[in-house]
Amino acid sequence: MNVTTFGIMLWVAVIFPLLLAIPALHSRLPWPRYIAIIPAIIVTLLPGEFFLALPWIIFESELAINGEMRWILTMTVMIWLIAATSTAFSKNDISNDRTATTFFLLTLAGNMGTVLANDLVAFFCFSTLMGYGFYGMLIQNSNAETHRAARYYLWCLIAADLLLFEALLLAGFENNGLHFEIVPTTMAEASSSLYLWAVFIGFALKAGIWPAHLWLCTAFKSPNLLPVLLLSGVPVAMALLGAKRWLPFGESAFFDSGILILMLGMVAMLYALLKFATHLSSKLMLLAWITILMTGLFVTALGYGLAYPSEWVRYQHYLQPFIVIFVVCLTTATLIFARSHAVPQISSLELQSKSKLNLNIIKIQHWVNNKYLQLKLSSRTSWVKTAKRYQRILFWQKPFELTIGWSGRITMLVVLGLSLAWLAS
Amino acid sequence: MEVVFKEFPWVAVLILLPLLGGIVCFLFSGIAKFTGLMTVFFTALSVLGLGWQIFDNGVYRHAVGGWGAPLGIDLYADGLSLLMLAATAFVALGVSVYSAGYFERGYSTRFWPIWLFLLGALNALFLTADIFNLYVTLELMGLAAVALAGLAGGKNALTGAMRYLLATLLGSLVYLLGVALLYHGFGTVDITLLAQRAEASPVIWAAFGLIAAGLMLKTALFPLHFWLPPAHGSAPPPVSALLSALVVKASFYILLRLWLEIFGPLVSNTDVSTLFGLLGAAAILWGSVQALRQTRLKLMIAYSTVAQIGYLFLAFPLATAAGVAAWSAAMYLAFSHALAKAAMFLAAGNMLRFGGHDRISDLDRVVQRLPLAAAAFALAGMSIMGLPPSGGFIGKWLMLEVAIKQGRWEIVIVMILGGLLAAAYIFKVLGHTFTQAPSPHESKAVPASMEWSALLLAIAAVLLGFLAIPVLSLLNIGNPFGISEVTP
Amino acid sequence: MNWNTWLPVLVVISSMLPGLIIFGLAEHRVRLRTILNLFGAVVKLFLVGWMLWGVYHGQHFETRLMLLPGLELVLRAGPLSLMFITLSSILWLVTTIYAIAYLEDSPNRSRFFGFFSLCVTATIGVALAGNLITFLLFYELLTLATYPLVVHRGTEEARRAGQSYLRYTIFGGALLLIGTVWLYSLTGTLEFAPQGGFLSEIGAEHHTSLIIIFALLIAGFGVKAALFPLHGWLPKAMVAPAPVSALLHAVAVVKAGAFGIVRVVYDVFGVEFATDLGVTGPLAWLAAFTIIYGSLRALFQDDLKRRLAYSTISQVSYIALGVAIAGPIAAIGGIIHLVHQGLMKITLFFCAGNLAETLGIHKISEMNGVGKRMPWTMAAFTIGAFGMIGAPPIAGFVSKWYLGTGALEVGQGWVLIVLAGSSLLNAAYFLPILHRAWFRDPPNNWPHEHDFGRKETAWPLLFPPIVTAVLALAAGILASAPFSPLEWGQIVAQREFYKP
Repeated sequence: MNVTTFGIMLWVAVIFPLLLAIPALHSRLPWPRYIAIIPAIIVTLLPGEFFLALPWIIFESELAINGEMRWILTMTVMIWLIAATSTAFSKNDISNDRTATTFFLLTLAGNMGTVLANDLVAFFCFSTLMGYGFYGMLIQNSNAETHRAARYYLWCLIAADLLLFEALLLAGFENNGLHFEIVPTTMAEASSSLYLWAVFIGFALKAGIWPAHLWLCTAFKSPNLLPVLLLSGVPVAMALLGAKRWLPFGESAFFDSGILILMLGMVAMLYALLKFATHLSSKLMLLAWITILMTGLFVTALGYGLAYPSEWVRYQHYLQPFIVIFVVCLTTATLIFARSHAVPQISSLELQSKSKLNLNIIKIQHWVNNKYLQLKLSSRTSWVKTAKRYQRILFWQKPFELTIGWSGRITMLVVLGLSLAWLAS
Repeated sequence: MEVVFKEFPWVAVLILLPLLGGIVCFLFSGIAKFTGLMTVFFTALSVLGLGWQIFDNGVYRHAVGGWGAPLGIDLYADGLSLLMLAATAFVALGVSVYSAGYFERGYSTRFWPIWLFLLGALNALFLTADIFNLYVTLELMGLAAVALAGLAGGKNALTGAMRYLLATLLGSLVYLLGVALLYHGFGTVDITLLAQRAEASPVIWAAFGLIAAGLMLKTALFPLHFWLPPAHGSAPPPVSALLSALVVKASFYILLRLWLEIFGPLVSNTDVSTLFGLLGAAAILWGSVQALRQTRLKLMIAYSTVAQIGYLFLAFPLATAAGVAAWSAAMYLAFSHALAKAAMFLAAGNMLRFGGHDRISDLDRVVQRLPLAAAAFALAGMSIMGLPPSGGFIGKWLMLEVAIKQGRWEIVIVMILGGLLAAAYIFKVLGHTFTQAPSPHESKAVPASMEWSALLLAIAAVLLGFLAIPVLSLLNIGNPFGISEVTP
Repeated sequence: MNWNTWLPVLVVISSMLPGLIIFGLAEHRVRLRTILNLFGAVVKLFLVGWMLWGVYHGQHFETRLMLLPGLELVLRAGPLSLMFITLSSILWLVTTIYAIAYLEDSPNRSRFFGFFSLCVTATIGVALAGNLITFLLFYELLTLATYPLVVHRGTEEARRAGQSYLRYTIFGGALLLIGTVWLYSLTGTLEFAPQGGFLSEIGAEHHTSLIIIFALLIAGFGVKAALFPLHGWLPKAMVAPAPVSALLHAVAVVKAGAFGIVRVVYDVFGVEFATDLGVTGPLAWLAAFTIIYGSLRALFQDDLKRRLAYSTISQVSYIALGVAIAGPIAAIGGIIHLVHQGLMKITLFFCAGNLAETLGIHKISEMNGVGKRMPWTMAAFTIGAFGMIGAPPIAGFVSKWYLGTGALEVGQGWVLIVLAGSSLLNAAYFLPILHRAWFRDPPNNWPHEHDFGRKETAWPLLFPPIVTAVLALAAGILASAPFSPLEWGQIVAQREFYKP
């Protein structure tokens, strides 16, 4: 009984933000971005493992939560809280804000669904929603650079969805149900390397894994703080998660393909390290290279697992915590590094675009700079003018301080150390 | 009561009533319109009576004055006659109602007597059982038709009527020669007796040549159709309707009758029927192409008649192997064409009257303000094109079925091409129905009776598509096509 | 004599009678006309619901009328027919509401709604036809009833589009007629026979004839289904008013052709026999080519409705493809796409009509920022467009899923490539529209703006696309619910296509 009620909560966590995405609804509510996360928070707090399949839904899809996924869900909730907080200022322009909120909530719903999905179809549905929603966030009121990134992302998304759809068809052809418990095993038995590669390339495109990292790097240059903040947590993390859950790990090995993927991961890491060493100009770009490094690492692990299934059983449970740690660190780092990205752009951006949201972003960046890094602002007057409004925001300072600061930096170090240790093993 | 109805000599009524009515109309011109309408109405009722009679008792034979063949005049009615009579009655009703509105007082007194004579002649023609009386009725019908065609007066009408007169006289004359030959050879004019006595001989061949040529001319079969378009083009629309729907079919009926009963078994069957088929096919294509080229509506419809007559002749080559089916198809086509073509001419007449002209390219402003006429034209066009569910479709379906069963693909292709061309010329007119015409201009009101008579005829042509079963069973009463079936 | 024999006729009459009465109404009697229209639509919906329930529980609804010796007019409500008429009657109701608002104050409305009803009548007849001759009858009726709607605008362009439409359809009708008569002369029956067709008994000496007949029939239906190279009329017919285009593309004409193909393959030839004859392969290739070709052409259209038209050419061939793949799952994919494409495409056309009517936008290049001006309309459009691309969980995804797995089932993997290519192209021509509408800045002035007060457009214009968009979404999300298109498609496949 309890489990069913909890199960319903799973669906609520997804459907509630989706409903709120309707402009007529969320424009009438205070703080819609926070309200939308509440059901998901409740889910993280509910004890035990539970699931609910709705019989009428397409392919009788199922949402579920278990120990491993709780980690991911907690992480997701966390980064969305951060994201909501970082945008809590842009309240002055209604029209822009409404569209932005809609995309925010759509992406949020998609993300929650992707995390909670317990079968391939549900995962695919929600990740598509998330992908297009994220595209909307990426492209809103952006400059030419971001436009380019968004376009790359869109094409990667379309291509990835096509490949995943084909993979889904192959899986549907081999299986009766499409649950995550059975699909990887049966696909491994069917030893369909077509399926393997469709899945791998699909998620590689979505995660911006080298050599499909172009959109990721460009996206990091976006003047919009919000999508940059969410980059690692939303598209990248979910794609890694998907790769882990979809790929055919099981009894039989895909030795050739596994080794090939492993090599790819190695090369990606090498590439990232090289770039890391040579391009130190923008600290935000540094994060991009770190992301590529981490995804490369992940891919290496996947390839190794595909080649040696017996080894895979031993370390596969560490991959989800790895995603969590990586995302949390990177998001934190993004928040911190945003200032070095912002400073050189302030004046040029002001000239470039008079759009209000952009001004807001600049203000956010100013605020971040001022509050945490005690840098002098280039325009003191605007700060004075809006000082009163910012006082209200101070209320949100505390959760902010909890997540960043030294703790974040230390986690970051830990992650790097861990991954190096991993490589060594 | 029922006995009275069943024994009543409806055939006599069918012939005498219109003639009598015609005389009354001629003598008392004041009540011409009323008398005319009443006469046509009761004639139609008589067809119903005769139909009942035949349906119950089978073939009806009536010796006028008690003298039978070979001396006296025999009247004979079977399913085929009945079908033609029914078509005549339907068209006559429609055209009469229309004419009551169409003809002004002056014309009215001339129209009604001639029209009733024509009706009497037609009925007589469909009921006659000997070839000389066929000639008499043919001649009567022809003269009445010419008189009607010239009714409008004016140079054009008179020239057209004159040409028509010459054609019809020529046709009758040639036919008469054939009749004379037969009489000389076999000593009788009764069809049944002739069929018994006649044998394959030069006399038969010569007589057949003469009779067939004369009737082909009167039926306006390609390439002898030269008189038809001008006569139709200049005649008043109700008259055109009569000419196209009935008069032309009457001579086809004679040809069919004689072919079935006398000539079919005796002449070199396949060669003649192939020739008929070829001419029919040529008529379909030529008539349709010509119709498509016309710029005036009535001429277009007239050429369409030329094309439609071609279908009837296509039955000849098909009938050598499948008699009943092919002839049924042809007669079904004839019946539905009679209704549809009459409706089409009447609708054209409405447009002509409303707009004062019948140039197709300028018709848009007319058609749009006469929705009923447009609807009548469209529905009639459906039947002419052979689109389901119209009478024309059933006829075509039957004929196509026969043709395909026999593997006569050339006939199939010609029929389909004819249908496509028909669609082309009909939609050439209808295409203007929906365009936005510039400001309306001077127009003459069209009485409702004229609009509705055209529409009802067109609806009848379409509804005929649902009546195939009763009509076909009616048609086969007395087995009119039976003889040709025995032929190898 | 009970209700079941009369219900199919009543369903046909429920739209024909209002149509005929409307012809006689004067132009200014708007209220009576509206009542008649809506009354007919609601009654039809009710009757169809009744039949749906009955058929679900295994009842039979059949009307017969002798047409020719040995040939009958048969109206029969089987599961497949019901699938189509349910779609038609729902969309008819919605489109009628839309059309009433769309054509407000324009001339010749009595004529328009009269033919509109006749058009639906013919579609229902096509759906209910129990043999090929009945099908042919209503199919031709559909041609005639649609023509006045295509040329309704009355411009010279409309007239030419109408002539082009007729040229194609009458020609197709002629081919169909030959094929039908030929078939009849070979078999002596035209009765649709579920689960295997009625031709498998025919001797091998007639197989060549049967192949030609198949080609003739498919060509005849292919004209309306806009199979390449018989698709030329469809983009031209876009001059018609938006509700007409919507109905034409979603239900009436195009679907009648596609439905005919389904009937020919499954109920006339029988899919196994057709496969043995070797005719399904070429059909599948033709359909696949049309899918790609239509999408490619759509890429280069700037006129919104024309782009949608080419998209239809591409999408309708999914149905033919599903049928021609000749496997049970692919067949389900094909027939549910009949419904799914209808819902999605009608949404897109409604939205296009709204843009034209409210803002005067006809071209894609004018659509910058229109999402901010008309958010609800564009939201519906977005759902429709994503559905066309095949994004989950919208209806189009389910169709593609079944087509794909069905093709894998019978070992025709190449279909996956076609599906992927089509999705890619669909994305390539729909996403730029969405991008423009949502993310570009709106211009200062719209080409021709109507004022609807504070609303984005009139309610009756806004309501239909939202309803159909929600239906398209629901058909995908609730695909496993009873009476969903998918579930019904499975019933169809079980009862009509394959022997259990």
